[in-house]
Amino acid sequence: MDIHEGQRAHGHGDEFEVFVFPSGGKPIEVKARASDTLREVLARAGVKPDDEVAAFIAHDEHGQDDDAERDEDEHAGKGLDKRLHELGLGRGCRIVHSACRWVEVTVNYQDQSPHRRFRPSARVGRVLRWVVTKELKLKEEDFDVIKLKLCDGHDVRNDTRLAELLKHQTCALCFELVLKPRIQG
Amino acid sequence: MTTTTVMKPDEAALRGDLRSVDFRVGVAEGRWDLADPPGVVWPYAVFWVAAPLRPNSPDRFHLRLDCAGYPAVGPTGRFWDHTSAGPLPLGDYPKGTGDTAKVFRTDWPPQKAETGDTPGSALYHPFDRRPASDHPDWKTKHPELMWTSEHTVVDYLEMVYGLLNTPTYTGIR
Repeated sequence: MDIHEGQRAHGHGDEFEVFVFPSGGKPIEVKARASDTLREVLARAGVKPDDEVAAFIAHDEHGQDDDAERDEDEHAGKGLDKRLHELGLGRGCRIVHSACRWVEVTVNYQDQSPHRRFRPSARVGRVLRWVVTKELKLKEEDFDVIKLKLCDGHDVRNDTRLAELLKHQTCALCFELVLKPRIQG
Repeated sequence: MTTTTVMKPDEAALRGDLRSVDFRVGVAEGRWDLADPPGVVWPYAVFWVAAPLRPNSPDRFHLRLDCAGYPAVGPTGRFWDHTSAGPLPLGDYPKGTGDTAKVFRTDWPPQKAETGDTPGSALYHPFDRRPASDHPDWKTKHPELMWTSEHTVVDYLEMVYGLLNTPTYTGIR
């Protein structure tokens, strides 16, 4: 169910679930009402946002989450006191919280280190698509044989949001492009 | 006199993971869900996994997982025809190149009456207990791809979703 379906399906007093992706942590499910403010919902997830803290409303439904040109996930840092219904948020919406408005991403590959900035709500898969098609000009088939790993050696899944990987208040991430293990017969 | 049915630990573990945030985020994002009905009819659970647009191809595939022994033992799964509640015809399996073709292959396992194996009756991936049982060498060749009790059904669904949502997936023809 998408955000707007959720809003239509619920009156202001009905409870529904939303997902908060905190910086450096796994997603948290919290109950919310359309009349709650964004600040109240984030607080319920253990996040104490102030105006310097960014919250992004992720609009990446299935099939739209790896478009390399998308960057319009809404920054709601100044709208923390708006109510969910004013923000168009309903059942199942995802709210990505981060102290960073942008994340500086570097990808190491052989002797190259392309870099660009992404929203904290972007997924690792989107970074992979960008570096493969836009920077390194590899063939799309190469998605099958390569993957991104954090420079500290940790594995990451393509559906992980960059905000989940941020540590220690830094707004930068370093990845390495590595060969994926191949399934052999 | 009343009778009480006690849920087995493997079924309880699966149902617990279906309530996890990781599973429910995927549902909220339209990536997968339990197909209900039939839902969970132990030891089977039927899911759908979203697929990107390809000519003359569905926007989702159903998958029936046999989850007996979960999570100590990995599931084994096959594509499922939700309408007829039977195996998906091999001609309607997702096709592609590379790992997509390899995992969704329709020429394996060989027909074997005593085990019930038929071509396409399991996914050819180390997560799936059926091929893993035939390939003891995978434990050393693919340690990072092997199922462990730390994995959940979300990892299996994520694997299928990942193989469908790549440029190497070409549709069902």
